[in-house]
Amino acid sequence: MDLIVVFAAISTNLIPIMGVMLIVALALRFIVYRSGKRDNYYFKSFSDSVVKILENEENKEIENVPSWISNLLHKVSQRLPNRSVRSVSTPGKHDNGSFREKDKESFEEFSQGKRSIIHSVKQNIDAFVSSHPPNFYELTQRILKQDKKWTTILGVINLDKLSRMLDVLPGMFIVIGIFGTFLGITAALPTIAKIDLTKIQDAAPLLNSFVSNVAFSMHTSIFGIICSLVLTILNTLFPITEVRITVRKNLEYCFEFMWYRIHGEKIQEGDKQIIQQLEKIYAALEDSDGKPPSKRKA
Amino acid sequence: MSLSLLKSCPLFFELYDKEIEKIVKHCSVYTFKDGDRIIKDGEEGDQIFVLLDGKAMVEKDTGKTRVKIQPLRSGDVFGEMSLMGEKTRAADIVSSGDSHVLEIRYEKIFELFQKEPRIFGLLLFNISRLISRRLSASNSIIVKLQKELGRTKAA
Repeated sequence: MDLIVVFAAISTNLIPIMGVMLIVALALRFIVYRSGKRDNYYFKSFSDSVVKILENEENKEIENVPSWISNLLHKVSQRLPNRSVRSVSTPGKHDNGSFREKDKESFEEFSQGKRSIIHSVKQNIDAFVSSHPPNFYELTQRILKQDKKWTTILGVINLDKLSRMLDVLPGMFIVIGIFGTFLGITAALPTIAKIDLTKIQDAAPLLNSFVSNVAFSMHTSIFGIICSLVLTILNTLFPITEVRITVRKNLEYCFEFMWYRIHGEKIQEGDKQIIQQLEKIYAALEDSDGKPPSKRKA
Repeated sequence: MSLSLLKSCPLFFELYDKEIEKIVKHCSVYTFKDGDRIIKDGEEGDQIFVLLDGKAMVEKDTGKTRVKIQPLRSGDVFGEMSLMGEKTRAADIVSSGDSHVLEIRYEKIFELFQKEPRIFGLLLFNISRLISRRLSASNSIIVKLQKELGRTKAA
């Protein structure tokens, strides 16, 4: 009997609970979408700047790769947009000395602000120095993972987990709605048991109560479907995962472009040497019997 | 807070990320251009610095010439003598190209003495390691110079 009361209570309160869930989901979705747009702009600025600088640069062999990357990143850092991090300003006695207030920023602003990607690329500089092409997908993931604004929102919530959660939430709303309906019906069924079939005229109020309880429990399903529809429409119109994939692919292309710019000349040189060697072998085979190798009998 | 920048710094050796965060969260980062003096010889200071990015050179003016003592790379620590009571800077530190320097104030470190004795202890231990390593390097240089002097005198 107690369980029935619990079921009835859950069924009655499920609509407000789902309402709160929907509001929280919408708020988080809005924040994630805004942060995704900001990240997209930031990383796109980086990759566009790199590609533009490399396209305008003279195509000559790079001797000192770390120094070349440092110079490139220095040029790119001047074109990057600011990422809004509150800066901590603590005026000190040395402000009038060799330290300039305008050149001062908090460590948080320095590490996560405008130059965040520059620091991450510098830490993975070995991948660009190596003459063996790295796995660009892994490299991009590694660099992006070092960016706290890319991996979390509000500095706490993991963005990958949250976006997966937001993707499954429409389905969850339907399940919760149906669950509420079943709980409501289960809670209302004992009312039928109270009906005395010998006094059918007295059963009307009990039947009315049963029907109204069942009708109310149906509302949870309807509300669940409405919530699911709202979130599904938003997921379709303003996708989160797709934006993140686009950002990652842009960056991956940019790193690939950088690596081939560094090692492309050497690869071309290597290819030329292979072709020359093959030509020599072909000529040697031709000289041995006067016929080209392709016209010889097997 | 992204602490990967400080991972290679010997000042934070054996400290957990959360502990490093406690030290640096209120610290400032300064940007210097090529030729800017980060520290001036003879100037008083109560800060310790970590070169986060870029290069710098330890220089000393001998009156007639400027002697370049040692280059500094990202992750290197300087100005640590101020924590040991030596308030006056012993050499110039000049930025070579653009550089970013983390400044940790004396009072921020000594605030840890009561609040976080473990962090304070490890920090001082790391500073001691740094100073002893430099002392050992200086001794080697002195021995080398004495040998060279002896050879020059003999010649």
